[in-house]
Amino acid sequence: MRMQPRQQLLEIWNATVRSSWSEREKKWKFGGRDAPNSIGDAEQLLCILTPATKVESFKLDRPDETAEDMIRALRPLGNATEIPKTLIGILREYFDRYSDPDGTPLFSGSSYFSSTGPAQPSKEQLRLDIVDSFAMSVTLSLSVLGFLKVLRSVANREENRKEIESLEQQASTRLSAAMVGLLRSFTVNVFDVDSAYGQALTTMINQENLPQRQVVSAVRRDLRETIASFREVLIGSGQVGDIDSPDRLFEVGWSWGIVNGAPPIETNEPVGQQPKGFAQDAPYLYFTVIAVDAIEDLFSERTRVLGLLNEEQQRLTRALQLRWELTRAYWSTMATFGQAQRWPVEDIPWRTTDEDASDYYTLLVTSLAVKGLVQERGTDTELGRIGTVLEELANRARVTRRPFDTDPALSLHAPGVLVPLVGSEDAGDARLLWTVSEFAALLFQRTTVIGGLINDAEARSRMLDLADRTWEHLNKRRLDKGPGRNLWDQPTSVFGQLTTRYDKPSWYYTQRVVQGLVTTANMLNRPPLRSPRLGNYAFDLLTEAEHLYDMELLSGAGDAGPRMRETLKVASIHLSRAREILPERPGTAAVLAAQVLIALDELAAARRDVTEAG
Amino acid sequence: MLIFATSDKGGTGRSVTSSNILYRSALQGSDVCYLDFDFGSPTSGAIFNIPTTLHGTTQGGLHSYLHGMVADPQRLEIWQESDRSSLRSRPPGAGRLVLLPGDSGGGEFPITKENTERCARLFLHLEEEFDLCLVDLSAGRSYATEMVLAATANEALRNIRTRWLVFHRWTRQHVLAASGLVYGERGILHTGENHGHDREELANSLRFVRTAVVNPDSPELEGLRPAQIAWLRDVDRDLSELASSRKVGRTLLLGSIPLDPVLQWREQLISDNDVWSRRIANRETLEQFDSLAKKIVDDAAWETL
Repeated sequence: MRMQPRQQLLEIWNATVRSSWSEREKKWKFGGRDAPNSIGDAEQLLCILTPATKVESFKLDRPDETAEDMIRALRPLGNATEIPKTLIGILREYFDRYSDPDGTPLFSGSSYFSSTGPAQPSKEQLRLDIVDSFAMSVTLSLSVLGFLKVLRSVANREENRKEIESLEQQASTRLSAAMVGLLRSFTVNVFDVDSAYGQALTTMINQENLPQRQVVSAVRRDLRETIASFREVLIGSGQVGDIDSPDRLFEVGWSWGIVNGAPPIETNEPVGQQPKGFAQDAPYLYFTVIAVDAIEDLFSERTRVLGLLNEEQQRLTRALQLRWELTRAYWSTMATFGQAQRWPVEDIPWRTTDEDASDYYTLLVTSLAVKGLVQERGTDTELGRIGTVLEELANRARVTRRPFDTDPALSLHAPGVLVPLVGSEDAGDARLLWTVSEFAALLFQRTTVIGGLINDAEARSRMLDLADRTWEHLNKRRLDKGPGRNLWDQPTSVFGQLTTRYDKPSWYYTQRVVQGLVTTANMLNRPPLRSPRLGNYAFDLLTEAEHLYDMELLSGAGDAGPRMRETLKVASIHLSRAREILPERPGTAAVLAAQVLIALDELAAARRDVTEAG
Repeated sequence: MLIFATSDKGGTGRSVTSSNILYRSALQGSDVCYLDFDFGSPTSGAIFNIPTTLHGTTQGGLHSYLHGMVADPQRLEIWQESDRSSLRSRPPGAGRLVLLPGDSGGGEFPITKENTERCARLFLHLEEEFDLCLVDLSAGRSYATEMVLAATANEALRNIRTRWLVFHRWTRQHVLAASGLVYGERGILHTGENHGHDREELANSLRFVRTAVVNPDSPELEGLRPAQIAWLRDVDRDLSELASSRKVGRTLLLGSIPLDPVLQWREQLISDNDVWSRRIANRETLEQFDSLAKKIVDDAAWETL
């Protein structure tokens, strides 16, 4: 690959600390382009914590083993011992800042909200909880809990242990509250086949031009198990009764916030007040993808191995996992429905049931479709098809192609896709808007994920090539001056048509880039793919080399002078090394065998001269 | 402040490193003294180039004092007694630099109530007079170590700040030995506890100093082949993990002194001259000494997790 994730992540660490840490006041400055809010601040912290907790060589929780270049990148925060302590202080500030005085964790979207009308969003609207914040809090809290778990085992001083324990408590409470929030914003939208929603859905998935009745019964057949499982949704929002009749279709996922009328969750965790919901009882693709990704962290291997969840949280996790399964199964079925040449997801752009169409929605659906393929052990060919969709999206969004002067595709990047938050108007004058401009960063992240899943060397290298080209695009979009230099996002650097210039970083964007880099780093940590062709070739070479070597020994060359003995000794070492690494690195084994062949041929060619002259 | 310097094994460069640290600290303006408690082989005279005391003194050194044969041990003012030109006169701004040598021909001796008391009295007395007293103990578990642990447990010395430096080389054997010396059976903590020290407090006042460290990424190693460097980096990483598991890791590390030809072959003080005009010693070595001299008195550097 052309990008080097380790160096890039170090550079981002360095830039994040430079722009966020005030040396003089010894204080972390929250906020960037947008004023501080519960999501953006978590994103800012995750720029440091995601690599530190997800990439082995970036860990900070064992100061004895932290690598020198990591310490150098974070130098302003202190030395290896001080860095964890400084981080604890910063994290504590975050958790304090986003809790009510009575300890209830807050998940408001505040400065990330904008308004559709002329009026500014009202105070009550700014305080509304948002799924993005639940999701980011799950990820952040799990990172913090894992970080502290390891750190606690190396901390000896009583006062530091106390600090760690109280921070653990705060993170755990926030985690529980975020899980409760996610359980109360899950939604199943059931509608009649003949309704506008039903029509839009069947048109989108009907790639074979079948009669509508057939499509509906096929969909219901494919989703039979999912439909049966809805009976198990017993707590929180998304409980439905009338899903069984054959002329009904539905959508599953997460709404933008707590669903209007969602009952509170009974729990003994200290999650405090559970606020009343305002959100429309229908899934939003963006929030569904965000929630699904975050919930995955809850039952990841790391969470289980480190034992980060308490009993009650495990119970909530089981409830969330069920919703995660339903959502994944539903969307992957929809994305790859039918027997036609073309999957619905390949029919770009994706159209939602409320008849909004965008390339961005296709990108979101691919990520859900990939999760389905992973679960069902999809083949490389199927993953490759999703990869092709990503390639086309990269072209269409002008990530890998140059734009026209007034290219409509640019609105994907700036200002981004605008999602109206239906129901939010009940808390104020006008409906709120949610702006999503993550397209290129998300594309990069999804490409690296698929690249890591594919086992076919050629298909993978196609994905990695796309990742590299997307990275080139992202690399150009960094801020180029000011304290936030090297961070994101400056779209006008690649799209000259755009006039807005920013001088502060967007943590929203930077955190997504970091996530992509982390995925890449973890993929590069695995041994390279082995091509069976190369393996056979290396095996054949090695067999010939070994045979020739044995012949040479048989002829008595092993008893010849020291130089000759040395040649043969080197050959024997090469051969045994080649034999040893053949299964893992056939390419290297082949080259080693080739070296032996050349050395032995020198001897053979010289002997031939003797016979010819004689 | 009292600093005790000890090492896991002989040949770690404990004496030469601690002398250098003390020397830098005198140059930084503190009044300092050096007590040669390496009773088996008193060699500090050689490090400071005192011609009459190359292998200990004959005029009533620390042995004689502790055995009660003289009322006060001999003192040598380095700025006057050394015959090395760069040590001959006190540089402006520098503090006093005093050596208390051991007796030549003296040896190790078991501790008694009397010599422990004399030892405690000496520490009390010197502590009042000097900013920093560095006591150079012998390698490994020794009577000298036990004596100072017993002396510092004395009620009168409780309020004096005391710190321990354990010198060890950066190799597998030395890491294991250093860990054993501190945490093992009859180790420093164990012995200290027996004499009435609080184990945790003692552990918190103890840090490691690595000597003769080969840094795989340093420019000095340019001559190595790539394969050697790749190997060295891995060995270094393994060692770090070992050190961490043996509680000799970075959190308890006060400094590491790079491998330096002058330390290795001459075993003497490195002067500014050696670095800047004669250029026989490396700049990094001098910087490390300087920073260690600051860190041993800087409370922030002694904070732990």
